Amino acid sequence: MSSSTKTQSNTVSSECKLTCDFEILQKSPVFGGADTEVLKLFAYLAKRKKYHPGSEIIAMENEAEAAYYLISGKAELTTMHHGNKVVLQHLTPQTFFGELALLARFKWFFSVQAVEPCEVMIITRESFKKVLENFPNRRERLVEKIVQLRVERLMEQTAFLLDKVPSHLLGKTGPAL
Amino acid sequence: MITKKPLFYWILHKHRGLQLFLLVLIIASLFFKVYPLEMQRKIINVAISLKKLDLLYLYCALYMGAIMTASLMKYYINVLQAIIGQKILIRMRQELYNHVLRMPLQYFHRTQTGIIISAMTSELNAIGTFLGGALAIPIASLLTFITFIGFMIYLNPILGLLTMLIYPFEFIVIPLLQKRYNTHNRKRVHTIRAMANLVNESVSGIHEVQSNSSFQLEQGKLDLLIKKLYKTMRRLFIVKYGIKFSNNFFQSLGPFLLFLLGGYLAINGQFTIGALVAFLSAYEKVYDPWKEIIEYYQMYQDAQVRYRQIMETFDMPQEDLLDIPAGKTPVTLQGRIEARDIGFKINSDIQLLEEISFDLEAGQHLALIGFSGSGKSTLSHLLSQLLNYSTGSLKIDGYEVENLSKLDIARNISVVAQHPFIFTGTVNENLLYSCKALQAADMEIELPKREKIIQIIQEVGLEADVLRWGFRSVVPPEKARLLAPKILAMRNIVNDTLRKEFEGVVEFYNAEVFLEYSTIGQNIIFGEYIDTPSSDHLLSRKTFQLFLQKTGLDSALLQLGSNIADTTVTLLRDMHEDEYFFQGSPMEPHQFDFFQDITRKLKKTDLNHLSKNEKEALLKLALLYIPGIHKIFTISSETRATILQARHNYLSNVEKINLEQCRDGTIQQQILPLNAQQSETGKTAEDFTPFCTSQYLYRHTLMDNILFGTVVDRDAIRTQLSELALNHFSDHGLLDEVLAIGLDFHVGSKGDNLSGGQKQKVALARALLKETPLLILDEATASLDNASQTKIQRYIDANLRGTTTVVAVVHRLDMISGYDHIIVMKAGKIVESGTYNDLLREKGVLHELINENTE
Repeated sequence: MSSSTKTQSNTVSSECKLTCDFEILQKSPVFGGADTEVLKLFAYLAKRKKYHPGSEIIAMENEAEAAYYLISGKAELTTMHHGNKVVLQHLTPQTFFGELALLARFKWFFSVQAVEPCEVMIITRESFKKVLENFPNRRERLVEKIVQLRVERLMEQTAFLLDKVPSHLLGKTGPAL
Repeated sequence: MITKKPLFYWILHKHRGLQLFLLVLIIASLFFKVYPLEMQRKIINVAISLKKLDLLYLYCALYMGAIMTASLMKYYINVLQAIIGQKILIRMRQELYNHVLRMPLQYFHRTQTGIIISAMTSELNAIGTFLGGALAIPIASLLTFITFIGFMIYLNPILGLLTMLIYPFEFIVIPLLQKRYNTHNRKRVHTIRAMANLVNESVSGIHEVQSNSSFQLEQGKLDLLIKKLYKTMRRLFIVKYGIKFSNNFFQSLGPFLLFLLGGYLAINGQFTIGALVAFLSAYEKVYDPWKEIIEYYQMYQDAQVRYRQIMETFDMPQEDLLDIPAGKTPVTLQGRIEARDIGFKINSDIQLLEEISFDLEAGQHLALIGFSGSGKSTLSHLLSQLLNYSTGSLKIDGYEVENLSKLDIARNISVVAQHPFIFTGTVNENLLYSCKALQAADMEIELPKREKIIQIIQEVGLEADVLRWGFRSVVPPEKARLLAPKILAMRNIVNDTLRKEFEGVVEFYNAEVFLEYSTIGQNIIFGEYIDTPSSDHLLSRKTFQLFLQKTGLDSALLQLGSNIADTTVTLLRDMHEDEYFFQGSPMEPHQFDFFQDITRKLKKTDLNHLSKNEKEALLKLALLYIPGIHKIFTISSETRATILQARHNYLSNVEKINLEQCRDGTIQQQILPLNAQQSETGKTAEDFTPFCTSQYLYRHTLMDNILFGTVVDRDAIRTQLSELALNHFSDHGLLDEVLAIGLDFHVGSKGDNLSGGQKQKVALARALLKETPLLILDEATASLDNASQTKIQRYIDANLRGTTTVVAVVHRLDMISGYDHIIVMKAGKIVESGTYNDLLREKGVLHELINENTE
């Protein structure tokens, strides 16, 4: 019976809800250095969700409400360019994406689809705001980390795209391959 | 006009018979007031001085009897008086509200809602207490007064007349004081109204107040009024108690004179002791009616002040002909509109519209477009008589609009406003609002049938919303019983054909599996009790309690509850003020302090030493715990297994249900010879319903019943699966009942549960259901998304052409190509008028506007 096996697999992951998510956050680049107290609250407010292959985790043009952390499975980060879908990044487990949503309201400028069955952890902007309202002096550091992560991501994605561009178009100073 | 009527109009014209009866009663009761005095005299002068016991008993009995009768009559008179007052108040309220509802719109624009509300409610109430005795009290008091004085003169003319001497003084002093009291009282009413206004304004604009952090500013405004009120109240009380003082003073002058003179006369033997006692009693009694007259005078002045202020609030003439003149029947219009040189001014100098002329044949569609502030909406308001044109002529089928009554208008014209108002009640009540209004006005109108309503909500695109409301409802048992077969049919569809799609999105009920998204309580009983709203209420069932004790589950749950309480209290120590943080715990924010105390206690002692109350709270916490949602705590797989085992035990031993018949997957339509067994054990039928596929769950929503499980991922249902399921259901003709349930959805106060788009759709459906020959749309689709706008426009173009004259204020130019006639307005004037194609060909303003928009 598929339903019972499904529920049983749920059972395994739900054995350590709070502690597992706490450990994940502790190892992550953004939340890594934060206090245990703050991390615990983030872990407590984080939600988990599963996606079938092909389903959209983030849909372009929708309101960005939360940051995502890929726990298992593979996903693709894509955008539309002149009517074509362009892959910007292949997401593998233990990666954050959409972290800018923690800082500001905007509409997603990219989509993320599950390629394999994926499990993600979701931290909403609201929970981020609520926790930091109670720990205002931790905010600055976390914001800095998020921006650093974003810069890193931008460099990775640019490099990924440039890799696809034939080298003669990039001129002599193109990246060394 | 009602607001010009004096206060006494109501008293003299309403319930006269009752008031007369009251007066007769009061006069009759006079006798029983004087009679005891006569008895007093007889007791002393006859019974005591003759030393006759039998006479003493007789007089005392008569004395007592008279007093009893008098007080019973007084009691009855008071009640009657209050009832008369309330009855007059009913009429007053009805007529006043009738007046208020029909006042011109401009009045409501410049009057604060708070004023109207307090005038209609509390201020009128205060008058009500006065109204009942307004006639009877002064007449009766005066008569009583005269009777007692008469009795005193009868006892001793000189003494009687002497005691009268003090009253003229009071006649001068008290009205003077009262006049000052009135002035202050008027100020008080004024200040309180200003306060009501201010509070109303800050509360309505609380967003602005909080975002500007203008607390001090608002507080300062109120402080001024508070101080003013204090000053007024202080003066008011000084005068009020001044009146009281002068009353008391004059009153005690009386006995002084009496003792001095009466004593002198008695010593000289010109006056009996009995007469003196009776005289003193009479003098005391004279004070009662006098006091009543004074009080009445004060109440009258007070009521007068309030009444004038209320009436001034609503003192504005109604402009339109409100009712059809007697003998005439309401007109039925075709919808041909003829406008000639219409002008509209406000405040008699600001010209909002001028030189408006156009013709529209019946059944044609007219679009009004133009810049904002160009007068499109104003023009549409003139047609529906919401505003009245100042000059020119506006005719529908040859009838001048200003000569039509409101009822004529309502019968022939439907209006959809840009921000329609939705009344508190169900969707259905709102949809039928216009039709019911006509019905109430004595029109021979039948309410639309359910098929018609469903058709219209489909046309305006409200169907999906109504379905969602329906699916989310917990249907009351008597209705659900009729619905259950269809719901179970839908459950079959989900189970047979869609199970794979819903896998992971819904946690299906399965007797063999621990339910991560149900409470521990539900996991144990694996069913529902009709009279037990949530899992923590299970403890109030004796059988359940007994089961927990017998199986030893109570100590396990107590431990679980204390663990949950402990982790919650530890983690949320600093954030328990914010309910947001309680999403991951079964604890309610208001329980935090209580559980904190328990956890502190548990640091020093063990669970057994807790009070019964504390244990129960912990048990409840455990029963409400949902493992899949409440992240605060994780239970072990052993606990899960224990609970699963308890479930089987509970079902077979307590509820006597054979789980073999309740297995997952197969549907057994006949599982219930259960009722027979239940009645044996003395329980009522249908008390307990197990989560069996053949059972309708009365405490669950339609959605939960159909899915037969708990929704885990609401988004996935909404975005992907609902359409799939709906297609299947509608193929089997199962949706009409759900729509009917959805129509009973409560829209909340003023429609707060609806989005802007939903409100507009409801208003559109409401107007379309009225099926009038004219339809006025004032940007009626502006809050809808493009697809919905287009859908509705298509319906109007296709179904209303030729049958309904449509005048639409349109904002979006891509919607107007279907209209027969287009009027482009600018600064209150028509700049272009003609068919869509003609206007485009002329390359005038419309052409320009369209090109601007597309670029």
